Amino acid sequence: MATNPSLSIDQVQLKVHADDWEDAIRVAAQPLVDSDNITDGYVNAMIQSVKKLGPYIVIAPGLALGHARPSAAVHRTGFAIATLRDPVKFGNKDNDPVDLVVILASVSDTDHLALLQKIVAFLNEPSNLRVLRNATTSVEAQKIVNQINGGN
Amino acid sequence: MKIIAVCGLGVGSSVIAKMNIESIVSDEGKDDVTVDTIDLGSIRSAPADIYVTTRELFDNFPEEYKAKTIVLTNFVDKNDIKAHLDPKMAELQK
Repeated sequence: MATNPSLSIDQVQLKVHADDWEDAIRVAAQPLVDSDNITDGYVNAMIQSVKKLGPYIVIAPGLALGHARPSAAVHRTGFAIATLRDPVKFGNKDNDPVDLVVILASVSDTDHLALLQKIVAFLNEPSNLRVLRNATTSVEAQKIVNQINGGN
Repeated sequence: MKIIAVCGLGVGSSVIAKMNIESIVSDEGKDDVTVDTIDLGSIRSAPADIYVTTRELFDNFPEEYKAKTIVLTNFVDKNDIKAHLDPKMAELQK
């Protein structure tokens, strides 16, 4: 049963501070913890996944996709996005430092696909990435959220 | 032709790669290409013509799979993916 999630403005944080890569994942994921989409256990699983498999989650220059396997630690499928005021290093040779963190949490292997497709379509456009990275206000955040949810 | 995107867990980065590769081959009018995703631990049970992955995971690939594998550093830049993928697909069609 797909839950048809969408992105909401409180899941987007702009120019936040993170001490290091672990903190960046924690900070970016916090809105999903606050809304009870995920537990702290999921946040820890995302961090453990990087420790175990390496910083491959940095999938493009400056962009980390924090995620772990679907599990009981995910109550509802959701995404969160954070841009970092001060970029942090994940240890990825090609794509460090990271200033944009996207958190993905899904209740199943498929529940996140529709929204992920929209986020990917947004990230495909270099101009969108520029807008997101430069955004500082809630008005700009809302525009980005609307654009992603609208799927174009 | 079968392409498999490989990531650590099989739900995140590989899915993004799959979406972008599907979009690229669709634009190219190649309707005989299927794209799947797996986690690295399952690679031996998933035969394919081309594997796509990241540099970190490539180092952990079984040796015999490496020649068939494309290493991507940018999973969201379709032009970059296309620049890696097209020569590999052309090689297979010779």
